[in-house]
Amino acid sequence: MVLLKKWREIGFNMIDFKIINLLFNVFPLLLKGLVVTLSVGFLAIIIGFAGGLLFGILNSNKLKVYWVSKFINFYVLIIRGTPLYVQVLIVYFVLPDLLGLNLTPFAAGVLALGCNSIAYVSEIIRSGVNSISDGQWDASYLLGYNFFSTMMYVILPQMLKNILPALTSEMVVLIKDTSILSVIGLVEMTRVGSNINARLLQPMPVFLSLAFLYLIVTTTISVISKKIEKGLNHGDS
Amino acid sequence: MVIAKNIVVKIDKKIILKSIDFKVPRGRITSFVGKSGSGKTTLLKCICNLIDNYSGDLTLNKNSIKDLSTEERVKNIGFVTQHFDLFPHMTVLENCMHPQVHVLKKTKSDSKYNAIQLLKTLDIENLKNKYPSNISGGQKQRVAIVRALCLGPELLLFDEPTSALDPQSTAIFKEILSDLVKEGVTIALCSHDMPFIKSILDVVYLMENGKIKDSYDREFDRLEEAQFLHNFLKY
Repeated sequence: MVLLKKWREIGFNMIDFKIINLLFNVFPLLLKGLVVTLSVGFLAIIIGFAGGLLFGILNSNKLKVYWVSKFINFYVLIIRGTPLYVQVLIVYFVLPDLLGLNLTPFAAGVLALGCNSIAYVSEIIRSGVNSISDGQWDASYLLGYNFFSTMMYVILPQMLKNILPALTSEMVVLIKDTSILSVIGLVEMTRVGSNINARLLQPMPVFLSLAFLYLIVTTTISVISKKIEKGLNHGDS
Repeated sequence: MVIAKNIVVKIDKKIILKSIDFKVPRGRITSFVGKSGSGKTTLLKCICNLIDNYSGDLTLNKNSIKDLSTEERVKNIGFVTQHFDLFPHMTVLENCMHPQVHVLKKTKSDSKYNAIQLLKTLDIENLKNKYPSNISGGQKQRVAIVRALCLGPELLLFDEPTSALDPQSTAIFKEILSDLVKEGVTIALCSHDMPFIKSILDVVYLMENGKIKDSYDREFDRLEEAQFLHNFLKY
């Protein structure tokens, strides 16, 4: 009975107009934070994909050059072997001293997440390139394609279908990881949520709203990826 | 005509071809036969420059094959690989058009016309909008032949052309070969399908352990005189 009473109280509180009013006030602020989150996330995705594509192709079995491959493997080892949190701190606090740069939290965030993503995307691309049979490379050569055309028209389109689920996971993880950037003072969505809670002391509506917004973004990415994947399946039996 | 003199191929310190001499005469069918691992496929890969780290002279119409530009190479030499290696993300028509557009820089309409004509010739125009995964092995081979012919080669190479074909498709393939020869295309192929080789007997080289052990030319020799080849073809 006590438990039922407690549940009723919680249920009553859930539809309390004060909370609904609060949500209406909180949402626009969180959406402003979301714009920063998405900006950092998508810029980092672009860096991660561009760098990862280059590293992945250079480290694939077809193109392996000893020292280039050693360097890329070392880079991947460092990035995968250290926490992203620490990497963000190093980029924001240590890198400016070493290089004499003055990085804003936004630039440091994009750089840290981008460099982190390069390591993971390069491994995805590498395995994708390696998954294409030698016959496809041979056929491309025999038909007169140069390396760029072979990659562009033969290898990448076939590989994309295989690696899209892994790339989507990486994008989703990266968007969620932007929340770590509050540690260097970037006012992204999680930081906005924490600030609102510090003022209003209403953790439940604030943090549930926060989680809901992250969920919408990551679900949208997953749905778009599924649609692309379906479109790429035309060659399957 | 392809002339090879003293061809030696080493891969990972292992000698695959040991000082080989042969000729592929124009407008005829030259077959390389032998057991698995005798170096037949390696030899074909040298002719199409897929393997270029060989020593010796390999010439096509007196020009070194190594020195051919990409355009000269694809216009002169076509290769239908053992597994056909069609591009799975492209339709049959796209497979045949794409190299013409992106390698020979032909217009799309010219490439399409050319591809459709050849697909009609090989009686597979109805497959033009299908993907390779949705057609049979024999049909894939014909598509691979059309794809190679679209670039207009005078020499067409086949690696184990009948290994994935049923008897009916093999019979169709033989007809295609004789039609190609009538059109003036030179054929070189490697195979260990003895009944097939016997049925297209023209110029034949028997290979063993990276060497040519015996040879036969229908215009000059009697098969019985090529003793090793004659015995090999009995199997």
